Amino acid sequence: MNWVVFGTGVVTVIAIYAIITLSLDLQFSYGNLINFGVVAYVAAGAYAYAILTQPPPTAFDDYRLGAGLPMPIGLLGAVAAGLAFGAITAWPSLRLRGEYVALTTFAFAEVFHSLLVNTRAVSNGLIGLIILRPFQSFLTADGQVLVFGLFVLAFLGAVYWLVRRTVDSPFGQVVLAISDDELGTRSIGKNVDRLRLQVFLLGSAISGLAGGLYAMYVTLVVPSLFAAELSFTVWIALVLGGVRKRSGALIGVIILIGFQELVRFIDLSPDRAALVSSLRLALTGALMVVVLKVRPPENVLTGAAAQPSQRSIIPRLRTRA
Amino acid sequence: MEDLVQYTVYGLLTGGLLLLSTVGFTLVRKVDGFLNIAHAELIAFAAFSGWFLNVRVGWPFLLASTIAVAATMLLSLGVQRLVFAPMRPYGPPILLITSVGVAFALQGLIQMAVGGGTFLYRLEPPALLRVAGVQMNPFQLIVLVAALVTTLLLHLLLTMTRMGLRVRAVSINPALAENRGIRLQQTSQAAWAFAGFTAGLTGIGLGAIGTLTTDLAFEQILLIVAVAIFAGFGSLVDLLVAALLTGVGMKLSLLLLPSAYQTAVPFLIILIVLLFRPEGLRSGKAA
Repeated sequence: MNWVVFGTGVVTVIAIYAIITLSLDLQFSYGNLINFGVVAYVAAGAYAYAILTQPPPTAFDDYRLGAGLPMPIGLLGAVAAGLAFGAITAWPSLRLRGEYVALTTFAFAEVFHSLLVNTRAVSNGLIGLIILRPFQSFLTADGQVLVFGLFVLAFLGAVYWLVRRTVDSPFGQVVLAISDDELGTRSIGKNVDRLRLQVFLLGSAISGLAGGLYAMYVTLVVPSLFAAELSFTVWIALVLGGVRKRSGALIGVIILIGFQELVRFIDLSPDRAALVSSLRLALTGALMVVVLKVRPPENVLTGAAAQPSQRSIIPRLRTRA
Repeated sequence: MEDLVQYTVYGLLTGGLLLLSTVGFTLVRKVDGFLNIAHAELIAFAAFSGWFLNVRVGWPFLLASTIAVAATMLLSLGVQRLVFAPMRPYGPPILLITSVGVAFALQGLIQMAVGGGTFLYRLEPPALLRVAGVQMNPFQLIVLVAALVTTLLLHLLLTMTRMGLRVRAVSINPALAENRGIRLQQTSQAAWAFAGFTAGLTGIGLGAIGTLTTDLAFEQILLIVAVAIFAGFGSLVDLLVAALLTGVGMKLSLLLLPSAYQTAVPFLIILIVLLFRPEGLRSGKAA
């Protein structure tokens, strides 16, 4: 039973990461938006879920908000929070292109992280917010893990279906056209800015949902969970699985998280824990570089700053400089 | 009022370090066209290899730091040759994402080598200088001077030498430059050597001024990106002004905001700059 519970835990983590990766896949592979701040949308969802579902504060608590609402409303709130944060950040980010979108989203994520640490009245600072485990009123501890795993998998299925439907729809095809040839798409009368915004917002909402589920999984949301490393882990998963591949996001997350869990098994003794986590970091990075080198995603070659990529087209001339 | 002067001076000293850490990053961006997120890991590599030679091996600080800077240059050239040069045809967005992978790999290796905790160089902390009632750490002053000298040196290299001319040509139009017979790999290596050199100096400077933690690289890249955007990848003068203003802004913010927000200040700068003046300090002409 213990192994089943452990396995379900891993599957749950994979499913949550897969949802985040799908949102990134949508934004990057189809919208050509490099979002280096994915973690902030996840964090917005997680905190929204926590604030909506936690009991109102007692005299001993630092936080001032707590609605004590049921779980489904919390999840709706998480989606809304991701969407809202997306709307706030979209305006400055989407005026820019390519690497500047990456930097702005990254910057927003850092500012948001700093807010989470510092606005004690809302986020309870470094202490974080405690979340009641879902389904705990009528299930045993093991049962909760299993049911929650299925619950998250159901959401993953729904998000996967939604993303696939979006991509295959006429809407998705126009979005693809934009990332292949923005000027061309604009010239046949498509509202490029609005479509980019819609893709970005859809991705943000999905990340918010993942945040809500993540909050339910960890049961304690603290700012350190939402560091930039999460954004980059998701990026690595996306690159591993292959950009613009039908199930790339899923495969990438399974490989990456499975790989990371395996490294965790090498040695569980506490004195080696730091070494193993460093090794994991190094291997993850090396894996990312190798995958990008062997199989570069092709759509971004036409990205914003395409000029230097023309270097390869020009044959090298052996004349004196 | 006294506070204001004192914090401005602290800010200028911090700005020196920012200038030193950003100048190499900006040069690579100009020559190879992408933001090298792993630049901060070069800084961390220098700081920790300096610490290793100085404390573990027991060499004197000057010798240890010289070797550390040289090793950082070699690492920089090695990364360029092994990873980024073969991938140049894939274009800047892929190189940017790749550099995140390189950053993870280097960060993991550094952590494996030194472990966790805080690290101090074996170096007498100097007496604080007092000039007209304003305190300064002499080491910080040295870093500021080193930053200014290095920036001037880069300016001279770019304007007075043939390699400088090639670098400028490649940064404006790589395809045309290559057509005219400039070897991209050679100019790129020159830029990476310089980036490794300045990253080395920054790492040693960080180690000499304060304590090191393994989070160093991450904190540095945030600041580097903020300063680089602020400067708008324009001229070296823009970069100088941006670095010093960011330093002063961060320190003056201590007078207004709780110190916990200090790390968010560079990002507020990025956001404000990108919102109202996406081209940064750079003047209207494209570089």
